[in-house]
Amino acid sequence: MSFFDTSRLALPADEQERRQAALERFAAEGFPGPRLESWHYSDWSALAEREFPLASAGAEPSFTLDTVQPLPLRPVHTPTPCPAFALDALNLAFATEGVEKTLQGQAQRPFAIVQQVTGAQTMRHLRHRLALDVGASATVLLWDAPGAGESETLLTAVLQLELAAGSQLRLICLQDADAAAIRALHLSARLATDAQLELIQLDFGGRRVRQELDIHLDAPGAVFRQAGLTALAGRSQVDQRSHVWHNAAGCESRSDGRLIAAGRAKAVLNAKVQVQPGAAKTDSETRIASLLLSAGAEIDAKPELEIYADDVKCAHGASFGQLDEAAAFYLRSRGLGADEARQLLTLAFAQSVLDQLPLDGLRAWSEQKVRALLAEQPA
Amino acid sequence: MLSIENLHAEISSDRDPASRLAGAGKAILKGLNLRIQAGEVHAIMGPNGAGKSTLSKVLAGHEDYLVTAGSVRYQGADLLALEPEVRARSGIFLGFQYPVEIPGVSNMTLLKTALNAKLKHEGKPELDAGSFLAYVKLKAKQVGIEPKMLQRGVNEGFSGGEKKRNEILQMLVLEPTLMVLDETDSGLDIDALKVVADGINTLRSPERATLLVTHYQRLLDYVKPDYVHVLAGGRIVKTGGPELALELEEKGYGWLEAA
Repeated sequence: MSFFDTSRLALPADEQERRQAALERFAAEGFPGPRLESWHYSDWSALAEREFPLASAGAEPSFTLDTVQPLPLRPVHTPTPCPAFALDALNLAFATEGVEKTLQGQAQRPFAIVQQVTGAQTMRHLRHRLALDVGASATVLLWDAPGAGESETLLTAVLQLELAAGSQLRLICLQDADAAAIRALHLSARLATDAQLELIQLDFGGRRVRQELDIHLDAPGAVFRQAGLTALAGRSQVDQRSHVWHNAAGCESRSDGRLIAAGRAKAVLNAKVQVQPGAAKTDSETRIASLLLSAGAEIDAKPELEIYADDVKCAHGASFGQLDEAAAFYLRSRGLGADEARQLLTLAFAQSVLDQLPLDGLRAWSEQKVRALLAEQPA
Repeated sequence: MLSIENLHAEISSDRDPASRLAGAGKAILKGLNLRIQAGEVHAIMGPNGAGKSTLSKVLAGHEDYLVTAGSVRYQGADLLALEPEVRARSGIFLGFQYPVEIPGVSNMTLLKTALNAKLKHEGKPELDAGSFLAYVKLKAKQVGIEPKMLQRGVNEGFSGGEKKRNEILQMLVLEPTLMVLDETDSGLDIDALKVVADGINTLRSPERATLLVTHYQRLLDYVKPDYVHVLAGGRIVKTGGPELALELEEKGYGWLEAA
């Protein structure tokens, strides 16, 4: 494990010490795998054999976005631990940069946080904190972008969100990492009175991807709405765990998860809603729908509910299916080619999520991504 | 235009078990002969299970059915060798007995993609967005479909009558050469039946032909057929003029099946 060396970071002694302690903790824990209950479907223990030198600090994205304003990465010295994240120790040891920002007022243009690893066979660790002031509203795109071609890279990122009373954040998490990329993201949010978090997740790439959400609805009137589309081909594996905590009365959470797997891809979604004592009048709905496009693909979907309060409304469900052959024939009988028919039906499955996207360019681009899923396998 | 000779078809057993129909391998059509000339309207009537819907689906190229013998020629070409979408682009339209609901694919998207596929096949340029919209709105009005329904998923949440109107709308937009309507009249009230009949009559021309598959004589009050055939036991057992439909309405099919 020669890549575990924090001395390269050239930090003050006390910080160096703290990071070294985190590193030793990670060395003892190792990469997560099925021995942890929440990692039932993914095993990263073999990654301990790999070597990932640190990517050079301060690497900038290799491209710009013209419709959004990028939020610059800044040095991070005193990260807040995130114990729910199995890779927190690794991230704490090496994360020296991230976005730290408090947003105020009504932001018109969307902000962007771009995460990219461009150096072949390197790793990078980011730690972000975003806060929204009382009544603020903003749209933020968190983009895990490709950049290292065929090379394996490792990125861990922690994003901690604080939404003050009445604030509204629309967060778009776009993961389009390289086909060999290893990615772990932990997103936590705390919502105050009447705060609203709208989360749109799009996952199209990565070799091994783990995403964890811990959403805390801490005060009455807090609302969390989630629309997620995971559309994978090749050998991509995306494993998502979400945990929504209804910690106060009168909060709302809605989740619409759509999983599509082609080729030999694997998509996992474990979505849990927990209603804590006293969280009366909770209104929660979790729906997961899955579409398998090939015999070699795998989807594991598990909605969960844990309720410790009375007078709540909670619904959850999961459905699985393949492309509807009767619908495909109907379209072909109207003159649409077999490929076109299958693409349209796959796109139709994803539509409820794509319709939520506020950026037209991103929506059109995402539609192309979904259509392309079928390209690698004959009808 | 269409020439069917000694057609034999059975329920396909090729498909994977999950999508295979019950009764795989069972013979349905057993030596069917039929010739349709341009400008003609033919009605096929017959008892349940005679093979009426099978004939429609075989003509459209449905994978549930396997042709085991015989031939079908359409405008001089071997129809059975063509993929379903090529048959459609070549002017064959199947009006479904049970139109499929497709949430997420709007009626507009279907109409536009289908029309463009046909125009491309004919070597013609696509319609621009404005002309297409005006064209579709005109046709939609003709069948009594509100413009806002066109933005919804194909047949999504449509009533039985609306689904059949939507079939006719697609037919009017695509202007097929051979219309094969599989019990398009079933389950319709009299107003919807008139819309369906008007749609067929609008397209009726010396260049086009129609094959109406129906249980009842009722539709034929509005769309006058040139020929009426009785399909029983997988083949055509009797052919006559419009008066045959009236006779069937009165006597039923028993006397023909016994013969």
